[in-house]
Amino acid sequence: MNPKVTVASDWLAGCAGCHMSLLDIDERLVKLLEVADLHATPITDLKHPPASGVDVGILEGAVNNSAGEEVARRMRQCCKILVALGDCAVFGGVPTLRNGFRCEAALRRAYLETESTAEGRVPDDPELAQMKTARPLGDVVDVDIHVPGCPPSPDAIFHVLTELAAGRRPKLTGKLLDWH
Amino acid sequence: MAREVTSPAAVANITINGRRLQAVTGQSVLEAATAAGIRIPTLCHHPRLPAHGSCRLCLVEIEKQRALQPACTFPVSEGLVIRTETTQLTEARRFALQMILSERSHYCMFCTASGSFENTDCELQRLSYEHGLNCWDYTPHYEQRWPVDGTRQHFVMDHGRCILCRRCVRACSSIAANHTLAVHQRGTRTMIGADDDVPFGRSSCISCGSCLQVCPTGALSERHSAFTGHGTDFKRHKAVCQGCAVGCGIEVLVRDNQLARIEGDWDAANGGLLCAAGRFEVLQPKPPRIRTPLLRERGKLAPVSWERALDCVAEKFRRAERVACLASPRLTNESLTALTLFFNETMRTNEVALLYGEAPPLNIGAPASLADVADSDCIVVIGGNPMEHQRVAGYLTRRSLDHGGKLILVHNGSTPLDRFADLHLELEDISHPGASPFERLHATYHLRAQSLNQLKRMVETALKPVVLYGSGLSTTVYAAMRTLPVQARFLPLIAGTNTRGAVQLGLSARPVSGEMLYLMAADDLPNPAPLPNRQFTVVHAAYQSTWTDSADVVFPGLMWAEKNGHVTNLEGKTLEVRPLILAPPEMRPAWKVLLQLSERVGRSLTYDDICAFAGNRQPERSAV
Amino acid sequence: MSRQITIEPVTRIEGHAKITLRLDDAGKLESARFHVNEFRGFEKFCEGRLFHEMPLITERICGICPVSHHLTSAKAGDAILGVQPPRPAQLLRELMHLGQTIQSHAMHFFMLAGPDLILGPDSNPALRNVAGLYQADPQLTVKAIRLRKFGQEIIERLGERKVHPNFAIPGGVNKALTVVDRDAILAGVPEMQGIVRDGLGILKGWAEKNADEMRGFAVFSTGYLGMVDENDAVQLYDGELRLVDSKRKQLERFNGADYLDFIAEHVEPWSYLKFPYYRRLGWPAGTYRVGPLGRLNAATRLATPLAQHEYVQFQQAAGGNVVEGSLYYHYARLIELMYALERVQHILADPDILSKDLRTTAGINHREGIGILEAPRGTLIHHYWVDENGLLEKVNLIVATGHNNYAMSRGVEEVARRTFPGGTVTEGMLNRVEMVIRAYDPCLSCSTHAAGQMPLLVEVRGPKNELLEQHQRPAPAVSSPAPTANRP
Repeated sequence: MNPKVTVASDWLAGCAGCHMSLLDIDERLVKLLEVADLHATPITDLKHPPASGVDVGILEGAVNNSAGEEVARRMRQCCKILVALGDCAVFGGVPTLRNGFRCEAALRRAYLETESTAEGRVPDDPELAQMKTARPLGDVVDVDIHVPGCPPSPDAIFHVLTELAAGRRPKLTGKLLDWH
Repeated sequence: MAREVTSPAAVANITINGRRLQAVTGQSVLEAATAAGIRIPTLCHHPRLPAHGSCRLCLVEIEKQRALQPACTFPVSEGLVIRTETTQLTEARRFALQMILSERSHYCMFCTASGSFENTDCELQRLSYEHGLNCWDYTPHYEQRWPVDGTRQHFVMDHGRCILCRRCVRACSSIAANHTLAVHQRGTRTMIGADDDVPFGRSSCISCGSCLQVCPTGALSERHSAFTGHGTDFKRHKAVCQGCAVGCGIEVLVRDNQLARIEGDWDAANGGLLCAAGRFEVLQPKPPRIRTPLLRERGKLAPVSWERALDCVAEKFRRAERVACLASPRLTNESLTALTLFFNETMRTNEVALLYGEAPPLNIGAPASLADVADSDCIVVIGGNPMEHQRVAGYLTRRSLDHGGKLILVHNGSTPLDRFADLHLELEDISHPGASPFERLHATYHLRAQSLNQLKRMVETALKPVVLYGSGLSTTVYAAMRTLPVQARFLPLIAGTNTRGAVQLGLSARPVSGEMLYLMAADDLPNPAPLPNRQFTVVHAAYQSTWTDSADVVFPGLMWAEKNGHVTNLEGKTLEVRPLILAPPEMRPAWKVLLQLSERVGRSLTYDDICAFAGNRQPERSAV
Repeated sequence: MSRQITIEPVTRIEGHAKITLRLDDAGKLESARFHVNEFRGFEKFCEGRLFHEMPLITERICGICPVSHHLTSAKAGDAILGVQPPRPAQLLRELMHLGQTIQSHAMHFFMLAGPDLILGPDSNPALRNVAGLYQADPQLTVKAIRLRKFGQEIIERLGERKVHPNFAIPGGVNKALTVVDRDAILAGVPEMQGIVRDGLGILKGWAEKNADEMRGFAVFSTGYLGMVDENDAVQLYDGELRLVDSKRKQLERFNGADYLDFIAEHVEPWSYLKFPYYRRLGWPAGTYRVGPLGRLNAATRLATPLAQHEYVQFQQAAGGNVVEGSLYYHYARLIELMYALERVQHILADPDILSKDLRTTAGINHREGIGILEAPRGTLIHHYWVDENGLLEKVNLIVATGHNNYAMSRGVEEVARRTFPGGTVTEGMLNRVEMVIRAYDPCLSCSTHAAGQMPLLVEVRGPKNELLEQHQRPAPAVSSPAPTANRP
């Protein structure tokens, strides 16, 4: 029997919708687990992929802070094939709406000016990550497979993962290619 | 629509993808290919607009040409050899798409046009799917915030979704002839703007929506139908606008019995052009719908059964000495026929008139069609203001001016066409100084003989003159029009959707007397002036209003999208009106109500009676 | 000497979060902080968009509960138009909301919290996840998948897709429910009720065996906030908000539109997630909890019989007072699941549910609109200000999990205090910390509680920030041959 393809996933500045769409493969999850080992993913574990690396790394979300850049680079390092999952990772998506505003303005609105905020201040603890311009994943690391959609359909995600498990490069056409 | 061929049609033998074809000299490669059923992807192109060639999606390989050429602007000629599908072309088209996508911020996930390959309304998105684009080679400059212009009431512009195809600019000039939109600035600063760069809602924009209809992306989107669906979610029905006497052809998009959107029917006489009233205002919120008959008891209106309401009204009809009927000119020919028959025969009275609406004499000369207006080289507008009351006719007048036509305006007061007039003549009010208020509404205007002669001379020199003429002109003026040269055509500026149909039945807007009034209001809404007081009033209406609030009995009526029947437009064409949505339950068509009343009054009419009277006009056997 | 202990799970509420524990000189726990590390800026970058786009923009705040934002946003849009949607549209919106409640609660209980309860909190971490669950009990795992799928399919039938649907618009909804869809949903309810009963069985079994834990784990006093109907029964879609204190006395009952009179938000410099509190009592005395436990404490009953029956038993745990233990969130969640399924049946039996009277149209009649409903995780508030053209001038959002922010820190602190007497960090302590966060099901639940093991890095540092001890839990492989080595 073929060795299972090892998969790790994580998310950056996203909403988790792409991972939810992955879960929306429903009973096909069982089939998927027959050909894929899901390592660090939201449905198993969340931390960094193993140091020995995985075959397939999946990242959802845009990169919009220093923590995200780190996660992206680490994932790129330890996976053979990197998949950008969803419109945020592929195109930049909704998080890039912040780029039209200065970070300080966005922080001021949220933590000082909102009508319900009392004695606000902008959080500045050094433990917090540093804001950066929101960008698609491909602007930070090399991406091998792009799966657009907001979120991509469960069918598209299942297709991509099973194709990768079979050692083929997935092609998205027809119903599976959907930016919406 | 093929470009006008100025010389006798000469055939050009060309080859596309190895197929030998015969094209017509003057056609573009795209037109020739389309005629032969060969598809070339396009984006900035639109069959109803002049070709532009800016998007570079329609690039084709033409032998002996150094570079790839846009098919939409490249003219055919004898011996041309063209290829429309090669790997190089696919790459070039993908590159064009990537370039377009990189320029602005295309957020598909919250765009009303965006969808899947099968049902997206965004042509940019569909082309991207077709060409297998699953990522963008060049990240957009998201830091740039593209403005959203929400200053127009009915539709909005998101500049971030604009691809500068200029379809809107071309539509504003060649379809609407309003010339509001233009391209401002250059290079990466290029923007679509209105007038000298003012917000759209504060510009000369007339909200006809032509730009909206042709926009290939979600840049221009309508507020009312935003996020209510796209593509195949809607059923499309061809129909007739009942906003005014022009009767433009429309396509109505319906979903789950809701009117979602109105578009212009490209194949109808108006050629896709509409006005704000017909495209947008018709979908605006209306007063509460009357859903059941209402009867006033102890001072208050309360819902009752049809039987009870009919009995009550019939009883009043039997007892009344004089009854009168005022009818909305929005009613169909069939309803008006049934109405006149009921009052003349069952109620034995001729006190039947239109609530409002005017038509000038209809026998002036050869009739003009809307197409004649657009094609004319000399238009006379006398005694009317088509830009307000028959808007599409007014817009088509402006279109004729764009083609070098002349404009003669004869009126008093000011109208939007004034600044385009080549000749401006004044009418004089010759109404009786002691006229009653009602008569004042129907003033009479006269044109002096000297001015009439001036008019005649200009018209004589024209090849295709068209006269748009209104009511309330003096006898001399109508007589003079009849003596205009034989090539002149005439289009009456009729006020009221089906006033022409009513006039053909002998109805007009005049005062009527009777202590009992039957008001057939249809889906009209009252003007501020209240009706004169009667002893007993029956109102037959679709919506609650001051009329229904003060009525003694109210019958629920159908609105325009629920009706079945015919109306006659200002050209004299009889246009079919078919139901687009189901009326609320418990509705009865007007003719049926009148039949049932006639039974109860004691002088029954039958369906066949109405048919016989109407000749070949059948009353609506509506679906409701 | 005082020390700071940092726990960095890759906990993500829209990003990353971590926990730091501060010890005093005696080595006792001084404070615990739950930092949220992610900030996208919706309250700013929605400025300039049109209010009718907001249901589709704001739903991208969360991929687990997009429907909450979608519907709340449409409600704020209703307020701007100054209309109430027709009754059929309101029923349909509530139906979609119930679908979401079902899928979210199902996923959380069975796939995230469940493995602790089903496989045991001390079982092999490598298998304490959905894959391990499947190995241990494939039937139960498939049931869990089916229950979540049932909820998602309700959403898809109405809004064309499961995640980020398009259905609610200001003034109503954009399509009707078909007979086929109605019947299909109804047909599935009995099976789903059976699965919820299985869940209740698992929870009650665990609670019996671990009675001390249930009673004593992360127990502290707060107020409770939830939406109720006119009979003070839990309402998830529409109603007034009821705030009770820790003795179950009603403090306030108000229309959501007046929220600013009652709720304020506090900011701490070390977290991007703000801390809502009850104005009159100030910060932090005015802390209240939301979500399933919050709702069940703020209300006095449930409107459907089977859920009400469970509710009575649930209340017995506290003798009729508020139920305070954080682990009771799981119990409350299952009761809400039961309620949601019954309420689905109730709504689908209403003759209006197939109606095509779906929308009230109007122009922009107010320059401000507030929408409120009960997301799975708690009270959600959208507040928009628009200009005369409907473009957003200002946005204020109070996201459900936010109300529980302080409570989560308190919970962590309580747990740490109990299991952390002398200063050494143990595996058990780390587990227990996870379990507290997990109970609150913070938005993006998957973030803080991977079913299984949250990889944790715990550092014990001295007063000069020198590293004294380090404990890390490796990320387990699911079924790889050899365990992986330590990694940074």
